[in-house]
Amino acid sequence: MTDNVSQALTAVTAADQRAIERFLYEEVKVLDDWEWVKWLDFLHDDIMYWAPTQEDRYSRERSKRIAEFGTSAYFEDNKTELSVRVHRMLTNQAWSEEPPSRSRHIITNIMVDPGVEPGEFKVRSHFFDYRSNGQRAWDMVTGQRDDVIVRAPESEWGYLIKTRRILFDMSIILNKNLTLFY
Amino acid sequence: MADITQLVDISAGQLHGEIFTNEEIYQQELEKVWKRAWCFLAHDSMIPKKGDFMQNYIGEDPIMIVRQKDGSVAAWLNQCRHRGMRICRADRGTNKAFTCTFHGWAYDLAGNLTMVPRQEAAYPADFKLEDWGPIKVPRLYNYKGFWFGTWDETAPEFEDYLGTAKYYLDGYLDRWEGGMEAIAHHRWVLPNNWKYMAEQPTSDMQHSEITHASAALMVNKLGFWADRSKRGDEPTGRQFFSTYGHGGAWYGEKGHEVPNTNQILEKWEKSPEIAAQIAARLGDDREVRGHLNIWPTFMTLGNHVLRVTHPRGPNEMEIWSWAMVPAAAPAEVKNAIRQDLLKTFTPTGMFEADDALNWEEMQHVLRGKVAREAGFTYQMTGAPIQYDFPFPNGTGSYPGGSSAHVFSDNAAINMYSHYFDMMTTDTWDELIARRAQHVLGQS
Repeated sequence: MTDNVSQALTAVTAADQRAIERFLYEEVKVLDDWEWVKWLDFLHDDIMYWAPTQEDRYSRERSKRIAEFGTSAYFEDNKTELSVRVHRMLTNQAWSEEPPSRSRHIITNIMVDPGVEPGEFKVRSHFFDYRSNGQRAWDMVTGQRDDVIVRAPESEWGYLIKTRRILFDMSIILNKNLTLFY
Repeated sequence: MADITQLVDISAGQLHGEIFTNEEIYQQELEKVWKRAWCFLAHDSMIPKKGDFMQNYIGEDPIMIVRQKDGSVAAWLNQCRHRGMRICRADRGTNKAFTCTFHGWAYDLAGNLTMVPRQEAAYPADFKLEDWGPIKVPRLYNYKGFWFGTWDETAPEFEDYLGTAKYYLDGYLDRWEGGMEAIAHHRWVLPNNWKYMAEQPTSDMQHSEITHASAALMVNKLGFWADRSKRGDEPTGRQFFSTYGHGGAWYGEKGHEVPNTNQILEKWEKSPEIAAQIAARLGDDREVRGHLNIWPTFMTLGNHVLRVTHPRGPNEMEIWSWAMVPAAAPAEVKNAIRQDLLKTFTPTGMFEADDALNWEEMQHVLRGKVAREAGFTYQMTGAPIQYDFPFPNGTGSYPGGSSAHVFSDNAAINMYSHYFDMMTTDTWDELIARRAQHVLGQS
């Protein structure tokens, strides 16, 4: 049992894998159900929610394709800042989401690996988020998320997202805005 | 050629919807506006070292901007003259030469054709490399670190093009020793005509109260952001407009302005050393930071977001946006500027999101025939127009035309008057003469 898949499966228990999958599905359920305040309960108090930009580079400079932390980003938010975004949506005057989008977060390719500390997991997932708003407007965005998720039995959902890096699969964003959470 | 004379009525403040939707008019804009205006290409800090390059656009034309070995800057059309392929497909980077990936025509940093494969065996003896380089942007101007270019050899000098807008623009970008520096970059597409993006920072401060009500409510909770509650309920501040379509506005009376800047930057600027530096550079205690647009689409806000918006057909536009910071400022100040605009004026920005909704719906409604005929109206002209309005303390005056407070369509009307004159003249000489006749409030 030394092949990569076997090692990955023994490094994390099936119960942890199942629980974290369920946790990620519960997370997007509250988003698609417009229960944004509940979404904050999925987030660690020290969360860094980061979505760097991407651009095209020549092959020898490809390591610069993704913007470094502290430079160009769509999100670089702590929990207070995310909470401000959430509460803006609840003012009933955030016109781009009033009435709210019909959104569908599809989360796939969930791979759970052990984190650095006990009870900590490195979780990669892919997303395909469809959004419809108004009469005819619609768009979608795909990408990957690299999360650090910690076990937190005292929390509402049993786990908390400690860091999330979101990579949108676009260089120039072809959507009019990115008003959902990803 | 499209006849827009029945579609733009400056004296009535009425625009036909067709100018925002019609493909023929759009093609005429590429010819009459985008081929003749001065357009922003790059900032020195975006291409600091020799061989550094970046892509940008003038209208729909892709442009390469490249730092030369001698420190100068060249700009050329990013199109191989051979079969029209995009020569460089990296957004930016550092390079010694560029090779087209279609047939291998090779170019130096200045955009000179240096090598054509099989030249000796397959081309006639009189084929000359120097005849077949990409089209160069013939006129470039470095205004305080910001590079502008125009295709039109007869356009006025850049500073004459700015006219009285220079005073206000300097209030944003010439405040500090060491100039500015770009530290973040965002690009995205919106489903609407490009002129909405030109008009709003030129003239429309009032939308903010309604469109951005939710964002204004929330950002004050984050402590360091621009405190919009200080703007008060009464109309204050001024709105300027300038001959070639530029405009802008800021809140607060002279000496008590409410800049649209974050509080950490404000605090740094109030330190005696920096305050003295700003006053010395600008020659007065200039505070004009709200919003500003240099026609056609070079736009900045008091939070030091800086943008150029590219037209993409009558129904689409593409925003290229940067966070500009004082290069010599402490890291904390730079980061505060970046953080502020990341959360306000980007695709995820809490202000930007709601602008996008307006513009998308406006564009969609214009599909209706009756809606296009109804068009848009600009009746908010109650604020008196004054020229060279003196400061209350008698130490100077606001150059050129301005309106008595921020809530005014005057600058938009002036912008569309300039748009109309650009669209209906063939030469800059004609345009200059026309603009001299079309002085808002005086003609």
